[in-house]
Amino acid sequence: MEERLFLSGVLIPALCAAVAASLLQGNLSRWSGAAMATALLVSCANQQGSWAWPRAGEWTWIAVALATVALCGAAAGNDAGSRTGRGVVCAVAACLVSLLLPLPGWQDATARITLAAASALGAALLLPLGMHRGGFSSWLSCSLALAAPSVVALGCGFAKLAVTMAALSATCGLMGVVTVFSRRPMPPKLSGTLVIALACVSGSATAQAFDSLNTPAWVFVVAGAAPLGAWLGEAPPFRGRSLVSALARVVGVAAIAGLAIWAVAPRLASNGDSDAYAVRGVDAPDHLAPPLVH
Amino acid sequence: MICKPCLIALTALGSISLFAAMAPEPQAAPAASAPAAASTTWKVDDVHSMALFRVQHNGAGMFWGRFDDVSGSVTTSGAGPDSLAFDITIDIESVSSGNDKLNAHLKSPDFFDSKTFPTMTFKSSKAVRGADGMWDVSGDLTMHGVTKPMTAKVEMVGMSEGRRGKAAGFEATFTVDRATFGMNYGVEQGGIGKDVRVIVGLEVNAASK
Repeated sequence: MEERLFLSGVLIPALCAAVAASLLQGNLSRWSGAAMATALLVSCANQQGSWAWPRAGEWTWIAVALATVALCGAAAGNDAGSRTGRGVVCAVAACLVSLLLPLPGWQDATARITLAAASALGAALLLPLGMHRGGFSSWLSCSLALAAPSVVALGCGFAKLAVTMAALSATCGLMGVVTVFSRRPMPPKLSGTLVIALACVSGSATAQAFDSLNTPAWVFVVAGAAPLGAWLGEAPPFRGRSLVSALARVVGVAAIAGLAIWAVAPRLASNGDSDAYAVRGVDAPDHLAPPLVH
Repeated sequence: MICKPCLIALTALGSISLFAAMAPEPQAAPAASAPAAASTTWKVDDVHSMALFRVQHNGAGMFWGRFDDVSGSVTTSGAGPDSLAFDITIDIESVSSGNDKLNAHLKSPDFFDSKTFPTMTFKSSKAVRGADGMWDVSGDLTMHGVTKPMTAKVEMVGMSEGRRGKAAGFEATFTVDRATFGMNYGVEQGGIGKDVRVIVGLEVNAASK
């Protein structure tokens, strides 16, 4: 079961995005967000079993929200003109995410404003890096950052979201491979950076909204903030040396993502069965069993 | 020339309007069946009522789970009774499998999505008694935000009168294709069956004549 889930939910969507990115190689920076949104949409559709428009209240609105953000980022171009322009794009993207996500517990005005503020802040803080850092290490950092909400979602018992976030993570990994073979570094620029930042925030918020295991709130905050670990590469001791800076970028993200993953790891590790949710020892009520046999 | 931030704001507003226009209308609740003449309304005893379900896991064993909170009412007419009507609500949060992690998974959007769809309901519209004394009770089952017609085989398993008044017992059995209710986790991967057999055991107490 897991192999087929990985194939349809992660590998195929990521390959779709990578093919799209390869075809658009010259414009990858502009369309990287759209390529990631493609992976997100394909993964959601594969898991829902159809391309139907999400019903009211369905978690798959996360794909719609992020696809819209990706298109907005692409429409704005690679840099949105000025710092002010980029700030406006971040704010609009954050508002889109908070308005379009019909998450339980995030519906009242205060919660929506909190989500929008967190999204805008995350995007604004990541944007200076996303505009300029585009080597393999940057994409690897993004991949690790997106792995955090994926594993946290799995720890909350929400496998479809975990697979969807894993598809985004795999897409970033493949983008890194594409950039290795391209002639010049390709940073995610505006569109891609927005999707990466907002995917982490909204992915964590979605996992939190559907969590039934009372996972501590800090776990979701840390998972959502994982991309910001890339700033470690800009610290004075590392900044001047490209290889060290790249390594520090990856280590910074891995440390924050690892903290979130560590918090839910015991839940994932406690079941030795190949099916993370398999249950053993639940007996059928014997007196009712015989009439039920087909 | 329109500045880019303005362009983004306009795009965003356009997107929101488009989504608002495309969002599905909420489904209307099915009309309740009309009570029969000289009817008795029975209130479901939520302590002694339960819903069990079973589904095939990994193509091998049958996995069992249950819902502990079942509420609602049953309306009968005649002593036999001559007619039956059910209005049953099941609280999804009460799902229980004996494993906390699995309970959380069952409540997540992979399965029942209890936060978005907190209840499952069945409202009957027709009940036909067969020669074997069992009832074929048809009605609308609403689960996971989807309403579909469904027929349950219902047996009246007992009736008594004690200090607390009249009580009766029913056992309903039916099978649902969960994928048609938009609950398809594990179906295509072959890990978890799509046909779910459900048994609802109801003990009801006469509420009024």
